Amino acid sequence: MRKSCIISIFFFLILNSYLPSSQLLAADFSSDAEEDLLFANIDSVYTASKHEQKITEAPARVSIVTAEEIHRYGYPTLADILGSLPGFYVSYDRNYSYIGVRGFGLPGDYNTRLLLLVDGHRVNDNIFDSMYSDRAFIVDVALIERVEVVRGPSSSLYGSNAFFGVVNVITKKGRDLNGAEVSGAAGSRESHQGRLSYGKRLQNGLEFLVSGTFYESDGDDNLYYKEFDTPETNSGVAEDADDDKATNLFAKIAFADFTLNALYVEREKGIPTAPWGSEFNTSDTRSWDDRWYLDLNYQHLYDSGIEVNGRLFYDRYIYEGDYIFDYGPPPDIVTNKDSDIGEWWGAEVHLSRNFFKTHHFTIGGEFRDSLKQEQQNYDRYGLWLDSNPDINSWGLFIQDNWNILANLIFNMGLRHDDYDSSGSSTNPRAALIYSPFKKSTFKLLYGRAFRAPNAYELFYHDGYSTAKPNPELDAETIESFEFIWEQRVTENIRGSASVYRNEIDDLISYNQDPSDGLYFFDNLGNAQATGAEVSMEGKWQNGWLTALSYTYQHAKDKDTGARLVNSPRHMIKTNLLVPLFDEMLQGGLEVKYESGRKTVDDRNTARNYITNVSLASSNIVPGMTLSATVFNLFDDGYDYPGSEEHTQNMIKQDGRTFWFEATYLY
Amino acid sequence: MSHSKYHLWSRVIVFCLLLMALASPAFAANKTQTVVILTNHNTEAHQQLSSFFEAHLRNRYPALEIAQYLLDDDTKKNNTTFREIRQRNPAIILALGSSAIRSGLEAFPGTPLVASMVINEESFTLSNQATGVLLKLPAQTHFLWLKRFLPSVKNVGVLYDPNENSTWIQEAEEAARLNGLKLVAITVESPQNLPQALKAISRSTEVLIGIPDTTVYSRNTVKMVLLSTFRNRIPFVGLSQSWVKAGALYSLDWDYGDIGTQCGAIAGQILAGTPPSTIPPQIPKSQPRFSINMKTARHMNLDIDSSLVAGASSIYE
Repeated sequence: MRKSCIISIFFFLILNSYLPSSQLLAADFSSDAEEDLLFANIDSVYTASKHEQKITEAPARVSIVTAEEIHRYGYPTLADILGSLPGFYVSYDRNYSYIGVRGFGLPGDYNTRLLLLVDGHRVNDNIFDSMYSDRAFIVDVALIERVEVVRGPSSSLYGSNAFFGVVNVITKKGRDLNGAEVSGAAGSRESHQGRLSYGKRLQNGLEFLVSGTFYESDGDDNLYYKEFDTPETNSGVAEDADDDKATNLFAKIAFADFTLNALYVEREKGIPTAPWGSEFNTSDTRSWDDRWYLDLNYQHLYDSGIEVNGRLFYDRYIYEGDYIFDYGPPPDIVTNKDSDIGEWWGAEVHLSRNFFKTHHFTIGGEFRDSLKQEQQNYDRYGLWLDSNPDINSWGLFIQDNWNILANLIFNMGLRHDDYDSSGSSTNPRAALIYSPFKKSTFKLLYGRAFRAPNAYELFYHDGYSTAKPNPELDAETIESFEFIWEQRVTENIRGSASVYRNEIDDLISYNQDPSDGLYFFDNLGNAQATGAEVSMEGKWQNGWLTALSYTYQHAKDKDTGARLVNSPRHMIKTNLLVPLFDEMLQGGLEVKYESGRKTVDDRNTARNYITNVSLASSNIVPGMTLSATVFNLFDDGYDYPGSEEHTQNMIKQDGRTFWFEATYLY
Repeated sequence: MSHSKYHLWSRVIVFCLLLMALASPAFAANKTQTVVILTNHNTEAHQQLSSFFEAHLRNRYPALEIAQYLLDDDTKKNNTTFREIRQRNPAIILALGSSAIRSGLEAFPGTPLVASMVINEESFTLSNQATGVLLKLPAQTHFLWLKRFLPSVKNVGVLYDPNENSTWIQEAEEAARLNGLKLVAITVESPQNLPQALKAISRSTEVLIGIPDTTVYSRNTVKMVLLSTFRNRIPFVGLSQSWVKAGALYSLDWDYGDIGTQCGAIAGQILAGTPPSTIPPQIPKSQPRFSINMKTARHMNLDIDSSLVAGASSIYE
């Protein structure tokens, strides 16, 4: 293992043994006498902000990343945030970032097996069911208050896409800024970003936050791919083809029990990898993703104890892709265009209430009506695909959280969903959470989830030149078993260990039909993933924060026994945040190790070690925060597997880059 | 006996009787009285209260014997303690904390008891032998100080269990109205209701005042309350200094020395012959002290008046 990795792990262990084991005593209510409320020693909120009750009582393994950590580590995108978590890993194909979870990250899967919520609003679109975690993500990470990640099947509460987990991004409120904030950033490869935000909570209770961000980057303007190393294709060098540009707009207005969210993102990306056999070394092959939505949310706690949560939403998604092909010989350069428009609206309502002081009961339902699911493929020779199915869905669910004893909780949930495309699915979940000792919690979890095939998987083709549809697709299902042990080691250090087994049936994957050479989606067999995760994290009131995790994951095709593509067997991650110079400066260190990943052609990428360092300051100049981050400090060369659409089986990733940001709050 | 000897002896007898009559108060005063302090906690606040109580009584009754006992979780040890106390035959018991009060009333039913370090008078008002000083803050006091700390706030949140604090809430609604504030009082009938109640607080109020309520504030809920208010930037007025240390914005606290003196004054009245049942329970007479968490203030983007910062008994950074 690389020295840098060993040194950082060693450093973590030494640090945790030298740091004071407790700077604050735990809450010590020695009896239930009322006056003990006044005299008990209580855990400070400054050490407890990650270690909240929510994590230990949740019927799942939950991770939380706070705004403070996002700032101090300098995470630029949601993919970087998720990639820091145990059990998660990222792939990037120079167009989109993809998130792998617990050994499962099929190349080219548009993150369809993770449900992404922003303030509870489902963000996965109605064409690709995709969850964007790169610059196409709809929220600027500077506006994120925290990210809550719930691992495991959650269809019993959320329906389709909550296959491997749910990522809920909670955004900031007007009160979090209480003024205007201006931010400017610059980095490697001619990258620039500007943001202007304003937020306020008025005396009459009206609260709002508005923000706009613009980002652009030239990317790597000299990308070499040996698969294209011929004189005709510029000796394998794609020049000026990796640019990236994004604009985010955000508005949140809240008054009394109502909150209106309006979010928008448009992103344009150059694609240098020549996917689908398109022409190499052209900056004209590119994609555009536009996504926006309006969401009106109502939340009220009635005197009867019933909490009502209702939502009305309207969403729109536009994807355009230009792919430059040579239809010759003789040379006939043609722009083949994908043009997709998704438009949908819907409503959901949840009601929850406590009964008999030990049951917290929730029922709810939602529906989604697709107004448009248009997919078109055309070029100057014709319109090859013009599909507009109308896949609507509805779901009903029920959940009970039963406090059997003070230290024993049983959580059970059941949801029934109906999709026009693939029929209905009913999915249960059960969790037993037991805390035999004050500092220990054990969880035994079972859950089932499903993922309905989306419009793209069902109906996409390009005139049968490279791809064909498969309207007979069935939903894929997952059954999961997990055991978790969470332990408070000292007052400042918390550990957890979990083992899991996921059984996936009717897996939808992208394959090439040997009979006609066309690509299509099919329910091709079953997969199994087993694994274990061990992690420790410590937080101290003086600002020190450390974390160390090890993940073992083994994902395989159940029928053939073959290891799944793009699934690292081992991952080690370590994080360290250190206050420097009287807390005016904070240093951050992140080291990630991954073993190799299998590629589509049965080879393996090399293992990689990525070290990121950051420096952040607050109030050196009052109101100003500065941060500087170096990614891949040791310039480690590494690759991620390509997907079926790529000629390259391995796609080279970025070397050392830096990012510098200054923010001023008025 | 001759007439002169009779007169002599009668004078001697009368003189002795007179001497005995005059000497009896002194004799009685010289008979050592004992006051017992019974407590179930040994915090700095308890110690401060005890020492000021003792100082006040010694000033007036220098010959008074004062003994302090710390109750144990072990019933056997406590029984031994009670036997020892009985042998002392105390004139008064000062009981600090609800379990000390309960033990004092059960083990020494005939002995006058001065109670303190409790919030609720119900722990002792059923007994004719008890009175005391409660750790209670009237709603009006809360709102006057709130307006000093957060002058622009209008919507004030309170979480409460109706079974414990309905009376205080009624008082608070009236006090809020008089102070130009709107009280948003949300019921929490069990700890399971707390997450939704906290979400409602974050939506509809600008500050949360913590009041003694064992349903809302307990070992199982303290972290949730602190984190929720911290995360949603809702200033939380803590129940005491230890809450401010943990992250509440400020708290109103008591001068436990003054309370000890106040308890000493009550004990003095009882020693002078006033029945405890005629002395109604009191609240602390001195102005509350306060502590501030400046780190929380900065996190909440709040400017705390410099005069408040200067006057705080404790500042947490």
